[in-house]
Amino acid sequence: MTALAEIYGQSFMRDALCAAVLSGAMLAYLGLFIVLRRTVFLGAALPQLAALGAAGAMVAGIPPTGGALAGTILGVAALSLVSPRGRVPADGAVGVAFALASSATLLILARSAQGETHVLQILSGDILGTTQVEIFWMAGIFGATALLHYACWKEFLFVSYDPDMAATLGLRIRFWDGLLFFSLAACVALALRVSGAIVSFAFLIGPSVAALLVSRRFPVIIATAIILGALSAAAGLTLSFFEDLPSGPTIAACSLVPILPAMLGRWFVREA
Amino acid sequence: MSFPLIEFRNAKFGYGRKIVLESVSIDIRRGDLLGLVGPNGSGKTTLLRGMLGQLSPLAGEVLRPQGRPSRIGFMPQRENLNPIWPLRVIDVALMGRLVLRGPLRRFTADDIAEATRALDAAGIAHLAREPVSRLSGGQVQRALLARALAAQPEILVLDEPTTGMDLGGSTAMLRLIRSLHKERQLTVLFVSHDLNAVAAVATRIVLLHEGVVREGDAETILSADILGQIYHLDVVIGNIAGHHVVAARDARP
Repeated sequence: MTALAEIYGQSFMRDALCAAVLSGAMLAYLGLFIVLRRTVFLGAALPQLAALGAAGAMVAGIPPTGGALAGTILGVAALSLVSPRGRVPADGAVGVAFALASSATLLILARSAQGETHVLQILSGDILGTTQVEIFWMAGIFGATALLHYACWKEFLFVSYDPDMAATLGLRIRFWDGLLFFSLAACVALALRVSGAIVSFAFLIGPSVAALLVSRRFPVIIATAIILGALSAAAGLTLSFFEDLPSGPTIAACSLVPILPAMLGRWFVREA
Repeated sequence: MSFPLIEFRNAKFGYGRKIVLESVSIDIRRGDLLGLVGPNGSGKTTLLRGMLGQLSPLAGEVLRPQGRPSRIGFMPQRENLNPIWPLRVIDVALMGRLVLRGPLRRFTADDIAEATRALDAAGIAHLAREPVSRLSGGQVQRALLARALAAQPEILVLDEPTTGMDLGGSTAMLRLIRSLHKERQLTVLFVSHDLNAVAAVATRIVLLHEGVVREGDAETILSADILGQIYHLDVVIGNIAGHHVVAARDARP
C-alpha cells in the first residue's frame, strides 16, 4: 500500500493512471461493437490509421492528436464507401487499410530525424508523458461519446444487429453507422497518444471478449467490459513500474489476461 | 377491389449493369396474402429489396398510392442474424418499436406492452426474458415475427419463414400466418422456395423466372405445365386435405 501511495504520489504517474483508466474503460465499451459486429480487424486498422495521421502530424510539426483524429476519421469515411454487396469484401478493404496505414506510417517516420523514437511512441504510446490538458481533452471527448451512446443506444444496437430490418423501418443506416464509427474513431485517436496502437487494439478486444464470456445480459456485459478495461489499465501501469517494464506492452498484456479466467469460469459453469 | 399499398409499374431492377428483373408490374393490395415464389436466382430477393425500399428501380416506378411509404414489418431469414449478440427475446421484439418511438427517445411502458403483445401473438410470450441464443430455430423465427408485428405494420413481409423447420414447426408457422392475416386483417407477403407452403396460405401468387413475372391464384400459377417448364421436371399436382400440393414425379434428369 505504501509502495502504491509512493508511486501515485507523483503527479506524472497520477496523470498516466487517469489517462490509462479513461482509455481502457472507453475503448473496452466501444470494443463491444467491434467484437459483436465481427469486425475485429477494424479494431486493428483504426489505431493504425490513427498512427498514420499522428506520424504525418509529427513530421509536419503539428500536434499528433489532431493528425490521429484526421487519420481515423478519413479512414472511416473511406471505408464507409465500400459497398457491402460489392466485389471487394468489407474485410478485404479493412485489410488494405491496415496494411497501407502500417507501411505508410513507417515510411513517413523513416524520413523523420527522430524516426525510431516516433515509431516506438506511436506503437507503445507515451503514457508517462501524458499532460493534464490531454486528460481534460480525453475526459471531454469520452464524456461526449458516452452521452451520445446513451442517447442513441437503441439506434446503434439496431443498425449493428440487423441493418436490413433497420433500413426497412426507415432508419438511415449510413448515418447511424457513420455516427457510431466516428465516435469510435475519435476515441481511438485520442487514446493513441497515450496508449499507442498496440494498447488501443488490446483495449478494444481483450476486455470486451472477456465480458462476453462472463454474462449473456447486455447491461452486465457493458459494466464488466468497462471495469475490466479500467482495472487492466491500472494493473498494467502499476506492474510496469514495479517490474521496470515498458508501460504500453505491459498494459496491453494485462488487458488480455481476464480472457483466461473468464473462459475457465464459463467452462466450470457449463460443467457444473 | 381493395386499395393498393404498393404498385410496381414496369419496374426494372438490377445491380449496376446486371439486370435481374426486366419489367415488373404488380400490385400489393390491402388485405392480400401474397406468395412470392421462384427458383434460385429468379430475382425474389431483388424484388423483395425493391418492395422494402432498399433498392431503387433502374427504370419504371414503384408507387406508394397512400402518398407515404407503408409501414412494413419484415421478418428476415434467421440465418442472416448474428447469434453472438447477448439479446433477450423482448429486446428483439422491442426493436420493432424503434421507428415509432423515434430517435433519441427511450422505450416507454407502451412500447414494452406492445412488444409483449406481439410476442404473445407469435406464441412465445413465456420466453420474453430468455436470451435469443438459447432459442431453437423455430423460436428465433417467432421472435423475429414478433419484432415485425411490434412495428404495427401495414404490410408483413416474411422471408422464407418455414426454412429449416420440421413438419410440426412449419405447420404451426403457416397456421400462425393465416390467423394473423385473418384476425388482424394484415397484408402479408410470403417469400419462399417452398411451393407447398406458399400454396397452403397464399390467396395470390407471384412467380418469378428468368425475369418473367406471372401472377394469379395457386391453381393457375402452380400448375404442372408452368412448373414443369421452369424446373425441368415432371411435376404432378394434387389436392391433399384441401391443400394444393406440388410434387416432382422423378427428380433425376
